[in-house]
Formats: sequence, C-alpha cells, structure tokens
Amino acid sequence: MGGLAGGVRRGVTVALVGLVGAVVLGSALLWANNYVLRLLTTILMYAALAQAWNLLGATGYVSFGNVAFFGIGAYTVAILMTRFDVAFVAAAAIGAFLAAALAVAVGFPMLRLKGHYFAIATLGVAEAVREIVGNLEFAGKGKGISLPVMDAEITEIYQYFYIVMLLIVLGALLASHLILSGRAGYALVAIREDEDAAQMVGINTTAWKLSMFGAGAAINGVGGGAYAYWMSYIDPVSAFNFLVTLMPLLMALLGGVGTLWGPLAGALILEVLAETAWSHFLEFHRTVLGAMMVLVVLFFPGGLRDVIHLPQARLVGILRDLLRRYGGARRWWC
Amino acid sequence: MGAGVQIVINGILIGGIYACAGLGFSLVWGVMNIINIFHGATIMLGAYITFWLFHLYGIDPLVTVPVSMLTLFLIGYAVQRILINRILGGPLFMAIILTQGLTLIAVNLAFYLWTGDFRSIRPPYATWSLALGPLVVPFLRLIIFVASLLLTALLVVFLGWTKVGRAIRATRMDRETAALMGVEIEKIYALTFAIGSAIAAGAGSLIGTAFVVEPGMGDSFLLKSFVVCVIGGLGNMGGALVGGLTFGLVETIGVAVFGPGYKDAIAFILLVVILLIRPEGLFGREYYAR
Amino acid sequence: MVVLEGEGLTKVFGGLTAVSDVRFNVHAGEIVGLIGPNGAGKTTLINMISGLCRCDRGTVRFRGRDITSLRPYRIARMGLARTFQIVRPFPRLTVRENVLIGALYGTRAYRTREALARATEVLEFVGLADKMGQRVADVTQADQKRVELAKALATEPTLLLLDEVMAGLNAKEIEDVMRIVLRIRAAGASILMVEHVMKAIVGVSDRVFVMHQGRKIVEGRPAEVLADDRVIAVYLGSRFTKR
Ligand SMILES: Nc1ncnc2c1ncn2[C@@H]1O[C@H](COP(=O)(O)OP(=O)(O)OP(=O)(O)O)[C@@H](O)[C@H]1O
Ligand SMILES: [Mg+2]
Repeated sequence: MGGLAGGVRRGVTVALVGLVGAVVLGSALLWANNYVLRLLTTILMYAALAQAWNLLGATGYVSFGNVAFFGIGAYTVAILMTRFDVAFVAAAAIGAFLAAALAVAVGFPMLRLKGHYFAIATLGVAEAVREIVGNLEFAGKGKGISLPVMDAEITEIYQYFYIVMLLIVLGALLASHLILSGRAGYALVAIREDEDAAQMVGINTTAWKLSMFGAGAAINGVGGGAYAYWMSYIDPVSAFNFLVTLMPLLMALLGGVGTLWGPLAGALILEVLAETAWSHFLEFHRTVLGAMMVLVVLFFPGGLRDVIHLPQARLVGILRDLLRRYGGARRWWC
Repeated sequence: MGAGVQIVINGILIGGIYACAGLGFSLVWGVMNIINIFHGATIMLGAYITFWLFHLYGIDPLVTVPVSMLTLFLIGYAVQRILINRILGGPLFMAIILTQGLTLIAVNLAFYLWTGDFRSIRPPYATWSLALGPLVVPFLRLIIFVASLLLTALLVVFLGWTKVGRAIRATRMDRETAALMGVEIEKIYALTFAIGSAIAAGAGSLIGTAFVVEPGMGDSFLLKSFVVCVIGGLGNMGGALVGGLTFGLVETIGVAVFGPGYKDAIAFILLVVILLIRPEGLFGREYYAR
Repeated sequence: MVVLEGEGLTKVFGGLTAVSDVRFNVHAGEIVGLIGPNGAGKTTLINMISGLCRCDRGTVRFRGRDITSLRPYRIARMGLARTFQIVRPFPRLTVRENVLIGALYGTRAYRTREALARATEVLEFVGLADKMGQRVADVTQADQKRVELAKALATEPTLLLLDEVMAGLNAKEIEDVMRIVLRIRAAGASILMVEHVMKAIVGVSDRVFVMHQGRKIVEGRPAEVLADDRVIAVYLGSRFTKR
C-alpha cells in the first residue's frame, strides 16, 4: 500500500536486513567450525525449501507432497553424476527441470481440486513417486545410490556445500521477492481469498497456481540435488523423507505464509529447535516435533506475527485467557 | 479364467476392509470438513490393541474388535473435545497440521514402546480356506470381509435410526440450522470424531489380522481411505462401500498386472484419474457458486 | 447492436433442470432486468454466462464471439464482468486493494501505478472513497455490495451482470445504487440485472424478462411485464389473477 514513500522505506529495510545477513552468513566461512557450518547449511537448505513451499502457499493451497520434487532432484543428480559423469551444476539444473515438469504434469489435474482434496492428493504424489523410484532398477531400487565424493579436504567440502545452499537460498529469495511483492503478489493473494472471484476479475488462476507449484518444485529439485551430492549417498528413505515436506511447511507457517522473510525466519527457529531435539531427545525427536506442531497450531496459528506483534497488554490477556480455558479441568469435558 | 475370477474375489474381500477404513475418515471429513491425518495412527493403534490382546492373552482377534473400538472412541472424543474443537473455523489446513503432529507423536511412541518389528496376528483358523472348485476363499479374509460389512451396517443404522445419528446428519447438512434446532455442535463434533475413530480402530483390528502390524502401517491406509472417500463422495456411507469395493478390485487387478511394488502408486493414479473426470468425486455434488 | 446473446441455454443439476432452453439478448447501451421467484434459475443463468458453470446445452455469444466454453478469466478480460449475489470480495484485503486487483487483471493495460489511480477513480464513482483503507471484512454489508460492484467496474466491462446488488439495502441505499447503475450505462456499458426489488427494476430497466422454474416465461417493457397475468401468477399464485 503506502505508495512510493512506503516502497522506498521498505526497500531500505530489505537492503539493511540483507546487508547484515550477508555479512553474518558470508563471514561464517571464516569463523564457523565444521559443526556450525553443517548446521547453517541445513538451515539454509530448509530455508530454500520453505520459500519454495511458500510460493504456492501464498495462494492458500497447501502442498503435502513437496518431498516428491526434492527426491526427483536428488535422484536425478545421483544418477547423472554416477552413470553419465555429468557435472554437479548441470545435473542439478536438469533435476530442477524434471521436478518442475513433474509438478506441472500432476499439478494440472490436481490444482483443480479445492482445499483438502488438493492437500491430500499431493500426499499421494509423494507416496507414489517414492514407490516408483524405489522400484526402478537403474535407481538402485531400495539399496540407493552412492555419489562420487568431492576430492577435497573435509573443511573445504563443508564450505563448498555451505556456499551452494547459500546461493540456492539467494536465488529463491530473489524469485520470491519478484513474485510476492509485485503485480503477481496480488494475483496470488486474490486466489487465496476467493478463487472464483479472482477468476471473475480476469486472473488466470490455473496458470498462476501451476507456475507457483512448478517454481516451488524447481527449487525443491535443486535443493534435493545439492542434498544428494552433499550426503554422497541417497536411498528412497532419505530422499523421500516425509519430514522434508513437513518441516518447510511448518517453517513457512510459523514465519508467516505468503511473506518474503517469514519462511527464512521460520527455518532458522525450527531447525535450531529440531537440532536441539535431535541432540537431547534422539529417540523422541519426532514426538518433540509433533508437539511443536500441535503447539504452533493451538497458540500461534498466525505464525511469528502473533508472537512479535504482541504488545505486552495482549500477552497478559492471552495468559489470562489460557488460565481461564485450561485452569479448570472441568471445562475440558463438558 | 479361473485366475481372473480368483483375482476378483480377492479384490472384493480386500475392498470390504478398505470400505470400513474409509468410512470413519469419510464421516469426519463430511461432517466437520476436517482431514484427519490421525486416522492412519488410529488404524495402527487399533491393530496393536488386537495384536497385544491376542499375543499376551490369546483372545480371539474378532473378540478384540469392540475393545479397540471403545478405546479409540474415548481417545477420539478427547482429541476432538480438547484440541480440534479449538481450531475449527480457522484455515482449513490447521486441522491437518494438528492431526499430523498427533500422528508423529503416536507413531514415535508406538515405535519406542513396541519397536519397529513387523508383527502378525495368526489365529488358529488363519490357514483354513474354502475351496470352490479351482477357486480358493481364505476363511480369515472372508470373516474379515463379513465383519467389515457388519461394522458398516452398524454405522449406517446408527446414523439413520438413533437420535444422535440424526443430529450428526443434520449437522452435516447445515451446521447453523442444526445449532438453532438445539443440537450442541461441539458435543456432536466430538461424538462424530469419536465414532469415526472407533470405526477406524475396528478396521485397524481387522487389518492387523490380515496384514502386518507395525508403527508406520497407518500411512498407506490413510491414502487408501482418502481414495475410497473420493470415489464414494464425502460423508456418503453407501458411497464409501462402493468406493472400498471398487478400490479393492482395482488395486488387486493392478498388483496382478504390475507387481506388488506399485500398490500405492496404483491408488494414486486411480485417484488422479477419477479427479480428472470428476473433480468433485465420483458421487460428489457439482460445485455451487452463488 | 446485440452485445450478449444466449440461445437454448440449459443446465441440469441431477434431476433438476435449473435453466431450461433459455433464449435472450442484451443490446448495446441497454439495461435489461431479469426477475423471477426464488429458485427460478437466475443465478445459474448468470453463472453460465460468466463461465463459472458449464452449459449442458446452448450457446452464449458476447460481441459476436462464442464464449460458451471459455474459461471465466478469459470472459472477464473480454469485458464481461459480474457481481455475486452473496458478495465475494477478498475479505482480508483493503477496499482499495480489492478494486486494484480488478483494474490490474481485468484489463491488460494497467501498470500498478495506473491501476491504483484507476481504482481510486472507481471508488469515488461508487461513493466509497472515504473507506479505501479499510479491510473489506470490516465494512458494512451495504458497503461490501458496493465493493463488489466497484471490483467489477474496475475491469472496465462493456457488459455488466449484476446479481441482486440491491438485496438487503435500505431505501436510500437502493436509490444510490440505482443512480450508479444509470451512470454506468451513461458511461457506455450495457447491463443485465437480476433483482427482486421491483421499484429498481421499473426505475432503471429498458426491458425485463421473467424466469420461472428454469424457463423464460415473459418478456417486454417493465410496466407491461409486471402487469402480466402469468407473472402475477408465478409470484403470488394463480388465485390473484383475473379470471
Ligand atoms: N450446484 C447446484 N447443485 C444442485 N442444485 C443447484 C445447484 N445450483 C443451483 N441449484 C438449484 O437450481 C435452482 C435454481 O437456482 P438459482 O440459484 O439459479 O435460483 P435463483 O433464481 O438465483 O434464486 P434466488 O432468487 O433465490 O437467488 C434452485 O432450485 C437451486 O437449488
Ligand atoms: Mg440467485
């Protein structure tokens, strides 16, 4: 809204945040040890995936099958690099293309589905793709594929993948910025608010949904490709891990669906939490994750905005409300 | 020829279970507009209850069905009452995420408590079968099929002829009007969810008797329930039966043709084909824009 | 010149024929009223014209082009806009953003800044200029009806389909909207208007046709149509007609 002045002010903010972020992230190569670098790389990967999910998410469509595209990218890179000696960057590009192509192919029928139907149909895509890939002879069946390991020192390898993920995130950020804060952003929001009404003012809803689904899939494909090369081994279980669908979705939700920076903030917070859960409750980390989901939905359905924009007064109000709601056990049952 | 008929028989027998599993899912979706991801975990829990009662005390699997139904009825009631009722009216996918979170917890705990071992329930009559000429009908499958149909019939009778059942159907048709007529929506929702969970748990007990029992078994049945529901139409009980049988047949034939590795892929492709032809589901109603 | 033309339009829902073999037209610069009792099929007809629901039979021609099987957004971009009987704005956006989206996408010509100016202009036209910054969900029902109208107008239609834009408004608000409708026509658009408010129908339309149980039963000048026995019969029951 705010017109020109608002736009400039926002531009300055974005530039400032970007600058600070770039300095911190860039200098990480100098100060971070291998453990921190690995954690940062994981955060960056999820940040890219969360942004990818967020593109379609902005239209209100909830995809539960993103890992299909991540896995396609991973397998494409693995197969091209081991069997055809294709360079990583080229293989990742092809992986992104294939993932996007699959998304457009399945998205065309599926994006006509509303709400729940779409969400669960995408779940089916992920299941089906995992099963099919796991049955393919040239994809190593259930045994998976080992990729060539980079011929370099271990620290250099860590740094390499850190930079790769950083570039992917920057690419995704640029794409999201162009899409969400321009003319296109209005189309996506209109679709989210009321799809029929959006069509009635001339918005080609199918094309928008398909291209967002495809763009998100491409980012997932690149991310998956980088992940495969990074891990240097993939199998159907790791390449099609349901958490790779779930975490980005939660991150976007926590950070604020449809916003530019939300998915990044969500990725930072949730991945740090998840890493803590991993290291402290190894056996129960899924329980912790599940509990986090339940808590986010119950208490912060609007994402971080609910947390940040809470003036103290409202916080007190919420606490009082919680006490009233949960203070007396009797109300739970009747 | 004989092999073909055999496949059809197998498909129909399996279809009965799918119908039963899809029924609870369809009920909850139809009445409350909730995709209950926890449905898969409910099936898993039902199967484990039967497994343990059979394994530890030698209780016949069929006898355990009411036990697992009752247990998950209570759990389902609590889940809806305490958690899901609080987020109704928000964005659609909130309930998906909530029930997904619960599923992660349940599956994780099941894995921790009971390990990831594949278990099977083998009552003495598991090896019996009826031979009709060249055709073989496994006795156990037949029993399960009949039990599934009974459960389905029970639900239909309940919804059609009891006061609570009528209130549930009224709520499904028009929530506001039902509320005006004195139906306590929150209570009805909790009951609906509880009944859906009970049916799913009963299906789980039967499924556990026919398939392996393990913590992650719910995932594929969740997908199947969804397909059944799309074929049959939301909240349409008779439709779920047709959907289950159709799906059982298609899957069995598909496995016979493409091999067992592609079960879920077949489910998905069937789903997409149906949705391509009729986006509102096979028996669904056409979308009404005002 | 005929702007919009429907022929043999039929829509069946299950066993119910909601629209049955309807033929009608709208001329350039004309305001045509469409009336009929509840459930007559008026909204369904609007949905068929605007592409939101498939026609089982029949064709719709808009400015000489067959638009029967076109997707709704194509029809909208050709200059055929509609409003929804139960308003369907983008509730969490502001009044101005709602209209802006219409200007941005309904016409291919606008860049964001021009579209903003255009949106402001339209909002002034319908008398909502002072509510521009409010969220649509927060304004009154009557204002939401105007937002609905403004959104449609922002697409710069040559033909406007209005589905009961006056329902639920008070007498003064109805007169406001009537004036706006006349001004839209004066600006060069044609209008097909579904309405239950007879005063408005008589006040602004040049021609009226009546639907009943999916069929078009009478057509003519407003005063004649309202005096027609068949029309009185479908609204009040045949007991009230002259024998
Ligand atoms: N998608 C649908 N599925 C089934 N029936 C429908 C559908 N859409 C409309 N109908 C039925 O078609 C008939 C015509 O409905 P329509 O909404 O067109 O009437 P209307 O003339 O606009 O009435 P009102 O004055 O009440 O707005 C009604 O009986 C309605 O119930
Ligand atoms: Mg109507």
